[in-house]
Amino acid sequence: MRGLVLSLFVHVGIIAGGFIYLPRMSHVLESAPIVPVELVTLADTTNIRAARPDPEPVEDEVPEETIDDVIAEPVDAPAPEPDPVEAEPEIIDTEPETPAEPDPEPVDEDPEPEPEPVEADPAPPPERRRDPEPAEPSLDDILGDLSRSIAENRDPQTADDGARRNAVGNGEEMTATLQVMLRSHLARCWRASLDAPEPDELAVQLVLDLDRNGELTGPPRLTDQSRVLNSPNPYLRVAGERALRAAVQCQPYPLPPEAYSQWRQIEVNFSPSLYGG
Amino acid sequence: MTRILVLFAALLALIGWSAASDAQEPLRVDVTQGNLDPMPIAVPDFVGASNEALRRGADITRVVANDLASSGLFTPVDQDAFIEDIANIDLRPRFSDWRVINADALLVGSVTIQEDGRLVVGFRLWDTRLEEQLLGLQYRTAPENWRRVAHRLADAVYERLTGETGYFNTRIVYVSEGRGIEGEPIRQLALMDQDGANPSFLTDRSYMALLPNYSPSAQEITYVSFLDGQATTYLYNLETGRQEALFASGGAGAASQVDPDGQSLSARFSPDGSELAVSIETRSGHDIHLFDLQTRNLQRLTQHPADDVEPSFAPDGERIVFSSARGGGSQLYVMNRDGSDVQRITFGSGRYTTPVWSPRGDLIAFTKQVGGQFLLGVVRADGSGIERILYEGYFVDTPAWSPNGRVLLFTRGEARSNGTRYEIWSVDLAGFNLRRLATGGMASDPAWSPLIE
Repeated sequence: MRGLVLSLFVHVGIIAGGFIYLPRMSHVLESAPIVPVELVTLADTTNIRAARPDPEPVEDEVPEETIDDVIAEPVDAPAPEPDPVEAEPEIIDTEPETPAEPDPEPVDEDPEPEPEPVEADPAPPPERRRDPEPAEPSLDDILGDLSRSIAENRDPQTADDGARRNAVGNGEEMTATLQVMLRSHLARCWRASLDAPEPDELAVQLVLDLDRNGELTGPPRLTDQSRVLNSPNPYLRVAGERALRAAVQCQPYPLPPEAYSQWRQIEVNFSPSLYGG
Repeated sequence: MTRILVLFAALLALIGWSAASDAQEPLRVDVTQGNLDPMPIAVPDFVGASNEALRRGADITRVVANDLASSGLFTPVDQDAFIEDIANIDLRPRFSDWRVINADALLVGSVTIQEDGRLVVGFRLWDTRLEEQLLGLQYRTAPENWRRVAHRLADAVYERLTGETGYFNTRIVYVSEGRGIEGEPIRQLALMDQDGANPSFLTDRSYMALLPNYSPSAQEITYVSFLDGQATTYLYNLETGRQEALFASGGAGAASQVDPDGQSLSARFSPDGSELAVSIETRSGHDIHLFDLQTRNLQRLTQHPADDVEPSFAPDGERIVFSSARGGGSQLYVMNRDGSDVQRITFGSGRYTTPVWSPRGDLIAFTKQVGGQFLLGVVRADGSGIERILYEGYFVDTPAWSPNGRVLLFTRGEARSNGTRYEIWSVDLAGFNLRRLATGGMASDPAWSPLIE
């Protein structure tokens, strides 16, 4: 009887797990269509442009698109030109006049849709925290019962479970390999700010979302993007831009497709090391 | 029943755990080594509405591309490779066309010649990977200033892409070396743009001129003249051409100590331009002095029996580096601007000379003679860490910093069958991008102006 109850629970549990797990799997696949919402802004112009032989038609709209404010350039922000044209006998009078209107288009970094909001779903952990309360059978007992029951039942699902454990083991070794591959791949695209005055203060962190082909599914994001790109330290701003540029330029990322779940999202710390080279 | 509930909870927990373990954390990678490759930048000829504007546009493009390339930080992409023909800089470029030729940045510009003849030069700098405009500016100027505009434009691009200020809109004073009819050495001061354009002489062939140094205003220099037959420091106003001998002996205070037949050498301006630090020969040998350009007051800072020479201010004006033989061989020392707290900062073998404080403040450039070789190096201003050697050769002298502290000019001598050939070369802080400065003939003793506004 107890075996039956247990077996019931195991099955229910696995099915329940499936309910939690499978939607997430399908979500992963859907994450590609989600992100283009992001891309639309970019692709909108670039794709059309690429398809068209001549860019004439877009003429008027273009100046609006020149996005000075993404970088929040403090230097050329003073757009209004006080035109001190005359009475400058020899020195160039140059007015920093931004030809493009400062443009209200919102900076596009943050609204990045998180591909897996589902991770919030696995509610179970709280449950677990609650369970010690009616503590009369010890956890060991329960687990002992459980494993015995599982051993008795020997159904395909338990085999499945073993396979998964195995995969996790492989993954840990794989992680180190992936890191090495990524490191050398990114080093080729990244111009380190080693020649800046305090290179060790120029570390920036980037999050990349990749599809199975190793292409970015959306623009790379700097953790702390606005702090970096609006920093009063121009070297930090440039370090942020160099990291972003490297991430884009390094596409496609040549990583093993069978380990895709491990490199779907990558967090890169770019930190120039002064005496490294 | 409780038991069953507990079991159920345990099961759920198990599921939660397995789901969580599968909810992959992002893969974390630390990248510390990058490349130092120059950034490929495409600079199509600036567009214009008339032939004259087009010609000027091509001139400006050439100067800008040359400036950027000379820094070693950029490689202009070959114009023959361009796919998109830029006809209007107010259109968004087809970025894929530029990425495909590996241009990371694209600089497009236009030249307009106004009815009054003035030149309007506008440009946009694009990041082809991020597909963003990085900078857009417009300059207006008299037509003869087109080179200055080109240099300023290059500085703006450089600054936007590297984070540090540029150094292209600058000039260089140097000593042009020649031979007279009887083979006697001729040393004249010459002035040119940083890229070698607009050269002119500041002094004539009748006397030797050496060791120029720029004022922070870029309007005056000091140099050492042999006009009176001995080494005397002169102040030379580049605007007016007026010259003045400094530190005449006699007078009150420290000036009374000055040896009437003594030398004064290498006067360098304080960062605010109000004072000179100079080594003057007194009755007890060479000592470092401060000279107030307003009050003409001379103040003695060092009084060591050994020679103290070649002072150079820190950019904050609070400290002075100099070379001295007080520890035996010539080594570098740093002291407060009032002469207190003298600290030795070099301890290596060989003779350390010609210290120059970097405009960034963190480093001091020097030359060093070890065995038969000369080295150009930098050391931290507090003496910590190791020296970095940037160049080694037959003869090295007179380092001079670019105003942004990234590049050093220096005199380089090469042994030739007919004597030593002197040229001015540049090298960057990493010891890369060794280039000869575009002086007409033999040259030495470079002095780099600050950025010209």
